[in-house]
Amino acid sequence: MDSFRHTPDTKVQPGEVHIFLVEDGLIYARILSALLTKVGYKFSWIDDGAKAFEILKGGFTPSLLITDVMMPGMSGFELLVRLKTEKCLPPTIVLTALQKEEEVLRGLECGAEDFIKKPFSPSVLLARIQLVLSRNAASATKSG
Amino acid sequence: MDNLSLEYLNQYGIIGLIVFVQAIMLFFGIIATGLFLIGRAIWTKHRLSKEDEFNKILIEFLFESNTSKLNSLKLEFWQTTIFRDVILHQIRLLSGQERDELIGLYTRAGFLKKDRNLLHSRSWGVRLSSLIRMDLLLLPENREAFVHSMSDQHPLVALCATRAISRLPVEIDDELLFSTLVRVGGRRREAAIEVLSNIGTNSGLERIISYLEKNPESPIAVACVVVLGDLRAVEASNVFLQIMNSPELFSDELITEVLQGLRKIADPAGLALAMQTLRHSSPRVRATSIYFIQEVGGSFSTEDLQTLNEDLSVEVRRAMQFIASQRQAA
Repeated sequence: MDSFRHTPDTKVQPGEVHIFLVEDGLIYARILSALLTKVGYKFSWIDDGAKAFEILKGGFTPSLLITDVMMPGMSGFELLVRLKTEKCLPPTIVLTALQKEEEVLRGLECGAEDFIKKPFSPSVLLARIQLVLSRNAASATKSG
Repeated sequence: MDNLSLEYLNQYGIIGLIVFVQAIMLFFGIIATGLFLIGRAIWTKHRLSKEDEFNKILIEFLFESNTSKLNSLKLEFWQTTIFRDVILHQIRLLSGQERDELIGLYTRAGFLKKDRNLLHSRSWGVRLSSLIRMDLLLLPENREAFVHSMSDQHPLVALCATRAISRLPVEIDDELLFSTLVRVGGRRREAAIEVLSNIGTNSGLERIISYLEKNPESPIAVACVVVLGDLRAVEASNVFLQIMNSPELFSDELITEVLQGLRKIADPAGLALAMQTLRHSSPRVRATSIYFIQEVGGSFSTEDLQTLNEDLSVEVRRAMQFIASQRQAA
């Protein structure tokens, strides 16, 4: 459709924070791209759960995965379960329009670290991203 | 030529003329349809490219504080609706400060004023569309416009206005609210439930309880009971029991929902009355009574159990299976 829709850049440079978005809504992807690149994160995006699974299974390890739930082909929950089974699930935030408590619980059970409901406040999303990243950085330091 | 041949030729000529005219009409019809489809495809392409452009401009405005493109934006008249819809779409996607900024932009661009004016349109479709747009903004200052539209002749417009006002933290006159709901929501149960849930959440359940107490036969009584049950309104217990005291006066549906409501608030005060509705004529009421009694810890007499075990209705048999499985699990 335009230059924004392309195969995501999955090269991770040392020291950089790379956030990978799986979301079928172009506008959400644009919003997150603007928001995250503004604060200095590297951002890449794909609109298909199945393709995202292949990329992540193929060795791409982003600092954080943000995924939608309702997507054609493979749902966000299914993506998380499959990544967990393959032992390649990065720290994840689920971004979804689902509002029910059971769905939030299901997301957390599938391996998500946090859950953000749409419509979302960009500042709140950014704060949650920073929280998940610092939590994971701290646990990596501990174990490392 | 004899008379028969002349007659034949004349007849053939008329039919030929008719076929010719029809062929011409078909030809122009095909041309017109083709032009329409081409025009629509061009418009869709233009619309998509403009939507994309406006989305980028708005995102730059929100996240990169770049207002130059927005300020220099000159819209042709056919592009204003595209721009308006793009703002609304982003308002739907975001919350917080960015959403407020977009609402500010929508207002400054004059779209809100235009929406308010369109509420006086003669076409109900136009009035409804304006209300839907205004509803998205969730602005308390739209209260007066919504109140005005609650009295709209068209039920969908009035319902949309009622739903819009119920989502706002503003005062609404009870009489206007409930009379509008009865008028337009009696046959639209889901919408009535949504409005009443908003009212219950935003401005308290007392109003719904008080309305139900005075109007248990209202067309929206079932919706009121559903909402009170869903919101776990313990204070609705008295009105539920009042209805259960004379189940013969009310519809089976209302009694079923009241039992569901009592079940949701887990109120054992309804046990004695539910024992009586075990013999109700409606199998749904009997089954709901069974669930309620079981869940609030009531016990069935041997006689009741025998009668219920002999009950052939699907609902009751399913409820009895539920009881059996609960007892086994215990």
